[in-house]
Amino acid sequence: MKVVAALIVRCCVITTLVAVIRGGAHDHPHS
Amino acid sequence: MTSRPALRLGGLVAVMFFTVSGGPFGLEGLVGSVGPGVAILLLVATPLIYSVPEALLIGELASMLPAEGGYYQWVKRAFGRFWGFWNGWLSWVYSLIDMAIYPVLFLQYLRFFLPELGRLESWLVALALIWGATWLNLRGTRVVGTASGWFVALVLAPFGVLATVALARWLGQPATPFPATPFHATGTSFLGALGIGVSQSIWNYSGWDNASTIGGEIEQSSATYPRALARALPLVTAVYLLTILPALALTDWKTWTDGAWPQIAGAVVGPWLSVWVAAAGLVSAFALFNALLLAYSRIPLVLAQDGLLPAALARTDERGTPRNAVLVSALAYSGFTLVPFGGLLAGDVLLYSAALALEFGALLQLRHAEPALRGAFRVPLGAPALAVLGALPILLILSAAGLEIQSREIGLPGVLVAAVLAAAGPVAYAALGGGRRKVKEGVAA
Repeated sequence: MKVVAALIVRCCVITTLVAVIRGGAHDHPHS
Repeated sequence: MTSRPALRLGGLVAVMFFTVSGGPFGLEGLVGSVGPGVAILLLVATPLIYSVPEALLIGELASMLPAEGGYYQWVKRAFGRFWGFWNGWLSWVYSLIDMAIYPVLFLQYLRFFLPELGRLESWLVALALIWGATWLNLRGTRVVGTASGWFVALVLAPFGVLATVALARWLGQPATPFPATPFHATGTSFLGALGIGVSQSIWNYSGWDNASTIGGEIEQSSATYPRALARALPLVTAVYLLTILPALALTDWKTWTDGAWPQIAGAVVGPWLSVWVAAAGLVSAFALFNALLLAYSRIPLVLAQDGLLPAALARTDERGTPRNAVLVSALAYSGFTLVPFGGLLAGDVLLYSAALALEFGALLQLRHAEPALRGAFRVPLGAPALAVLGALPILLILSAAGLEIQSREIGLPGVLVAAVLAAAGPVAYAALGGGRRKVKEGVAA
């Protein structure tokens, strides 16, 4: 279970990062 | 004595994930070519008929003989040096075809970002992939394991988003049926569709022995390898089914062609997920090459330790990494990169099945000849039931090759090439001196 839990945590970290980057891109659409 | 950094369970599961699967890339083409029903049938049946027996038998072998060189050592111990060499030969020849595919896959997803990529640039990118993975491998097995752990998450994260959004929309529309119609693609019969798809399905569900070659670099390998199998096989199966079923329910299956994942993700969620999925395709191709380089480079290492290849290849650094074997493997794969091996896949499957048959035979022989040889895991079956279990994947793989030869024109040349390459094994054994030279095992630089 530890292995799967670690994988899910990593996926969540990456998804959050992508959401932040995407949010940033939306804030500055012409940059 | 050198202290060898050991790969732990998490790292091994990640390496295993990439020596078997690499994510659902490629399966979108399977759906489009055989039809949704047959594709789902194959994705559910293959792990049950093929992977579970293979994983059980490999788990017991890796547990009873958790040595560097894995399958080579098992076959050598059971049948002697010649058969061990032939098993290693089959696997290494198979790897030349296998490893030429990943730079091509990488370029397929790179063209999503750079559609105008020329021939020279493509070749340079392929070499950059090979030597980038080589650099990572030279930093040691633990580094490859840690990196692979992150690569699994990088590959699966966008598919997690796709599956979650698609599942929510699918369940929110009660009228949307289970996506298994038409059962087989129009213009094909049921058997014809099976013939096209079964090899590809096996391809995506096989290779559970690949990581055994690093058996000497795994912490408590006898117990860890079977435990990793018990985690990686359900993970791979769940990834395939959870990424395909919900997205297939919401899209037209005819749009599911090779390399279509970014478009599928874009259609279900939005263009931003297309970009993310294409980027995950790049990571997957690199990580597949990286993990397989780790596994395949141990074949020349152990052959050299046994005096069948120059002694320089048997050298290991202070971390236990066989630097020369990794570099020579990378050179060999660089020589074959971008060679269009697509037509040889049927032959590749046959080479793999021959190696696998030798390994299953080794298990039966070792149980008979050395009953005291036991690891942490043992399949709770007697020899006759074990033989039936081992026959299942071999029979499936042979019928797959037979069906493919019948259904596609490209199959037969692949089979002929495989036969010639397999037959070259004994010639190579004789040319290399038949193991007359002896080298001390585990030579440290």
